[in-house]
Amino acid sequence: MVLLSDGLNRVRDLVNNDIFKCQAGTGTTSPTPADTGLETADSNTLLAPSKTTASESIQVTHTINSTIGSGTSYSEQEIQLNSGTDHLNRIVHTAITKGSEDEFNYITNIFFKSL
Amino acid sequence: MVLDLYNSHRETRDNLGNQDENKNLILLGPYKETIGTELGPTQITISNIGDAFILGHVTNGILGTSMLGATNYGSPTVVRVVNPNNIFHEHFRFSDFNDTTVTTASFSTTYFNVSFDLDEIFQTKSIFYNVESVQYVTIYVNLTGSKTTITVDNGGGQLVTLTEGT
Repeated sequence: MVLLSDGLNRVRDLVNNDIFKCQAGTGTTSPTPADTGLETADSNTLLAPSKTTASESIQVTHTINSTIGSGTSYSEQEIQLNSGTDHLNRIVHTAITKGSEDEFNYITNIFFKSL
Repeated sequence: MVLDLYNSHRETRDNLGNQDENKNLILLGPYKETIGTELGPTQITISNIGDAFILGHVTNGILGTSMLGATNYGSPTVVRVVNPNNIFHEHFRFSDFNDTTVTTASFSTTYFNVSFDLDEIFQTKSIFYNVESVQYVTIYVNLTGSKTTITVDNGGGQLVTLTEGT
């Protein structure tokens, strides 16, 4: 008995298909598993990400282009599932102020594995 | 009849069918049956748009000022790496953290490992780039060949653990 890579990749695809959009914000409170979204979301950054799959893994790239959020100090970001109803993760980082000539990319890896 | 057999204290046995050959099989572990989802690192990169024409941009959206197909659109610079629970785990699924300017060993997203020949090097890019400092590193290795020497540069004084096997 062992979990097969084929099965893990099926789970990966189910999650991958459920990834809806990503969003950034300015909240600074440390993330907890009980969070249900960002602390202070910037709705301008609510965008569909690009997604790449590899064996038992997904890479999600959330791009905030140069026309969005100039002057804003971003410090949190999330990946939304299920048409935005649910949230996969929330990360908090030291703030980065976005300049008018800056394009941001949040690149997140997600792994599916047997434990 | 059945009562007679019982009262006689004799064993009864079913001699019909084939011998059960499974009864002495022992299932050896470990077998992994739990599916885990692991959130990996998030890299945050910034690209400077330079003079590139960006439709809708307040300054770079002016034809005659900004250039279509500008070549000075900056390559992405990593400005943060955020790790859930402050743990970075290299799964070798993506090569984002392989510093190809230094690495000479074979980084494989097919076999999910990095393999070394004599004097080869593997170096990652920044794997912690937020507010954390690295406390310890664990490396899982499979040793082959007659002799293997591993040198780990722990100039920062961090504890380094080498574990043979996967």
